[in-house]
Amino acid sequence: MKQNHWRKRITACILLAAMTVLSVSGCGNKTQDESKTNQETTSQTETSGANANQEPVAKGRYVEHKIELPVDEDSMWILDIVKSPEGNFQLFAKDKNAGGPVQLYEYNGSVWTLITPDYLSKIPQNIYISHIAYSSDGIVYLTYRDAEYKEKLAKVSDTADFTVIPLEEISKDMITNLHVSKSGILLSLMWNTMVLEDDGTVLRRLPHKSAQSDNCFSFAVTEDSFLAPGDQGFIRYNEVTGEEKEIIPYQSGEEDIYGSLAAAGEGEDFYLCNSAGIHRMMENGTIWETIVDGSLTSLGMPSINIKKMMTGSDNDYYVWCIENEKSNLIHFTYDADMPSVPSKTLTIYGLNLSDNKTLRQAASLFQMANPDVKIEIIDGHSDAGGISVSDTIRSLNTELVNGKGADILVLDGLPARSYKEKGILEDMQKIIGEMIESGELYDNVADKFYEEDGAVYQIPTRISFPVIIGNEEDLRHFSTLEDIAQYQNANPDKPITSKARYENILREYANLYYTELVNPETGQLVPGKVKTLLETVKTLGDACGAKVIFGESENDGRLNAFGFDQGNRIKMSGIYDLYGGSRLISIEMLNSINDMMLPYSAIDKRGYSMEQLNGSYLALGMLGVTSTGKEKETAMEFVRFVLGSQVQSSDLRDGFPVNPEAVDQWQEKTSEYSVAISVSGSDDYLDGYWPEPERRQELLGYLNTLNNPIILDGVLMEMIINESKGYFEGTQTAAQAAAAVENKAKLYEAEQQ
Amino acid sequence: MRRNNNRKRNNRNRKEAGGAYAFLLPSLLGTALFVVLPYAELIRRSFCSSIGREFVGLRNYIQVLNNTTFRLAVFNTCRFLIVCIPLLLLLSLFTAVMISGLKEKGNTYKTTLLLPMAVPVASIVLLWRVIFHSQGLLNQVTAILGAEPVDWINGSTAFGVLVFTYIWKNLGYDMILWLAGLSSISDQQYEAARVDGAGAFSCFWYITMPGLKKTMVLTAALSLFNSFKVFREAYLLAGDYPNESIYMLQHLFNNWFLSLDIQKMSAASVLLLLAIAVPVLIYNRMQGRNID
Repeated sequence: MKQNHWRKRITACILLAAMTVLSVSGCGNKTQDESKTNQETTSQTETSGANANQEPVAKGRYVEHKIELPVDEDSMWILDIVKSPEGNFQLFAKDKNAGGPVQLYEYNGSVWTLITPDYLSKIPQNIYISHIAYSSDGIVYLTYRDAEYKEKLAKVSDTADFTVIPLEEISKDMITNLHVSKSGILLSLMWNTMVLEDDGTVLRRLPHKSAQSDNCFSFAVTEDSFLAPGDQGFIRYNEVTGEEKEIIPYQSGEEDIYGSLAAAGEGEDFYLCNSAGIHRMMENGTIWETIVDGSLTSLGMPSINIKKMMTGSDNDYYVWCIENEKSNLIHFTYDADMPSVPSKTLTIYGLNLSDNKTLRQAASLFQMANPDVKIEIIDGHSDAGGISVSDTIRSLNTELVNGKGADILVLDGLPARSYKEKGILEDMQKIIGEMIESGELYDNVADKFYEEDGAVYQIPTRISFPVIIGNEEDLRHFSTLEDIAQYQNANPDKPITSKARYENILREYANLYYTELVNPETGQLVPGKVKTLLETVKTLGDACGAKVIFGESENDGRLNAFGFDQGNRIKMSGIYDLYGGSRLISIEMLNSINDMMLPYSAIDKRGYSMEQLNGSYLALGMLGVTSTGKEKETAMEFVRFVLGSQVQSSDLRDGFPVNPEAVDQWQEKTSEYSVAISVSGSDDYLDGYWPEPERRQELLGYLNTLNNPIILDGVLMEMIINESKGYFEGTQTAAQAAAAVENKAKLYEAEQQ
Repeated sequence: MRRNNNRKRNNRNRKEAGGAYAFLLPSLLGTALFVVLPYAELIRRSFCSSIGREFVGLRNYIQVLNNTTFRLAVFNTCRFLIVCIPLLLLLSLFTAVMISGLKEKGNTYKTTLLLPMAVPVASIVLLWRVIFHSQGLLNQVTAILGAEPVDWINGSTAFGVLVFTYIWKNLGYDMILWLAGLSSISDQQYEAARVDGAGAFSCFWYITMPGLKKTMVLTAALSLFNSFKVFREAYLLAGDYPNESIYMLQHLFNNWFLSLDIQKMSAASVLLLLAIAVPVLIYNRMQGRNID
């Protein structure tokens, strides 16, 4: 009996030991032998570098090459780039000034050759061609606008004359796409695609989502289907019967309609090219297969607009895209030796990075220049699932305390002062000092971010600055809050601001005169200034008809136009009201040269003057390298890269450069973009064009004079806004409201001691 | 023979103790991992710089004790506890005694007083804003009486609003605890007292109160713990920086975490731990002596 008991115990112990060994064997790193075995069985997995002990690295990734285009877009229009029935890429162009015949270049995989097929001479010279498509038997179909700007469709071939196909049902609709398939001509309009016979007879209409512009190429024809954008996803129509077969959900979301679709050759597979990359949808598939990761290529750059994707003959892809109003043709080819996934990951964290175009641009360019680095941009707000800003910061702090934070922080809205004091931020003096010395950074901007001990913990990547426009006499009264209030009191019938909520006026003027309100050295409120601010805002608001809140019936029953909550954003533009005579001056917060197109028009027409306001500027995209990050060296390199001229020279309309070399490139930039708005109740209008070189110089010259950075403390701002409500509602005096703000600010300051 | 018996008994005791330890081990490990270790880390951090890299001695404690916001928060928290807990205990005991006197008829009142427990905090906050806002319902009522509008939540009345919120939410819960205590007191005691000529007050003072002694300790302890939860309401009603009168320790800790002042939080937490643990230990010691 006793023996049996012991036997049971021994068996149990053996089983326990065996289970433990088996469980533990699953943990830990693979041995070298195992790696070798894997290497033999997986052809695409190799050990990287000379060190055979390293983890095997999967290889094979699409890489991009830019194909030089045969035309200079300063003098030529690129009409379309299409694939000929023989499989060659053809570029149709036309001289911008001289007009003349359409020119055709063919690409043989290495060079473009000018060719002159017979049909080219048959195309009239006084038309503007928008789309071109080949039929399988070599007939060229084209859409164009005639001299009266009417949309037309025509066909031409070597053996047949240029023939206009009658389009009686189009009326004023815009043609957005053209395809030719076995069932007919597919002519996409704003809300539907018409299937036409060769004589213009409409066979059927296939409804789809608004294509909105002729830049939308999210249509494709596969062997039996026509794909078009819908509300829920891409709609697959049976091309012959017009029957809706299925809806394929978008890959990224509705913005996919600004991507491009392309058939994958024979069969029903097709590709989508968007900012997230190139993706394939198999026939009867449900999941997008990403072939090219957009974040590792230029497709992810905010400066790039995808126009058209085409497939090559060797599992390669061509993407025609527009950057800075110029065409690029990018060729994506598979490189079997390139590691599939970069070995280093650099993480960048910020509260709201989804709109930070400069950072995204820099990330794409940096990854292209450093294929072994992957940059992960973490948008704190969306990553935390939309919780409050305070809670988002708390989650970030937990990571930082545990040494798991990002390598780079975008400090906008984060407690930068506290991070600096706690040793979270690394000193960047070495790279910043070098850049200032070599003239790559504005010293008047960078100087403001030097600490007393010479360290630099944060630096802006872009800057935005205010200019004030109006009659010369009026502009002299805006240097301080007191001046503004006095001037408004002296001219009570001439509002200085546009009609808005008190809160919005308060936010704008608290932002603009922030350095008057808060001591930049200590970060504390200047005694008595809150009261001045509140009284100034009240004076301005009373003059323009401001209210605490506007009702639905305000503005003649239209939308509650003056009541929107603009948060802490300064989106000032009063040029329209200044020009219309309903306000005394206009303050424009400028992010790019484009922002001055309309103001310059007003200046020209009314003889206004313009001045920069108090040397102040908004420091945007403040970067700091964390001392707890794993890739400090790469992080420093990246900061230098962002501040370098390659990134700074891009005008993404999110701020001016901090790099003088990049500003020189901005100075040279030209644009054909124009904008016009009419002044209500009259025939008058403002029409803005790209400023002349002298004006660009004047504007960019302000960057040398900026010396007064506005770095908002979100907590203080919210205190000012919340505690002043009673004053504007009429339940408190300015002194009481200011005292309430100052009391809370004292509490806030005392916490930091 | 006796020595053999002793040895057997010792072996048996040792085996039993081993078994007990084996059963206790998981919970011991859990406590060590989730309570003891974090506390040890907290104590370590209270002597270190913000991200725990260098030893700074007592600097954090000195900073915390000299910090005016810490002193304000301690004062407010103590004031809240001193006002709320006795008030809640008295009110809930009063309602419990009243309801128990009603027997079956008291169920409706019981349910009514328990309802606030079922209302989510977010709804309470919304309701309170509707009532206590400067343009809210309360001010509409006081305006009829000719009073000026008052910002109840952000003004000096904020403390009263918070006390009211706490009492309103916890009254039903404490009342149930008291009712449970009351039900354990035998009716025969009251009958015997009445036969001896005791009145209602005497019955309450000499039978009910002694009978509720244990319940009182439990109810007071639970009320104390629930009082810490009132921060949710205070935070949702008035934000990170409320009126000074309701600026509690949790506000300070929350804001310190936001500015990454982990070292100050740790030191303040250790001080709080001592402030709670020392009286408890003294009380336990005294209890032990009484038993002896």
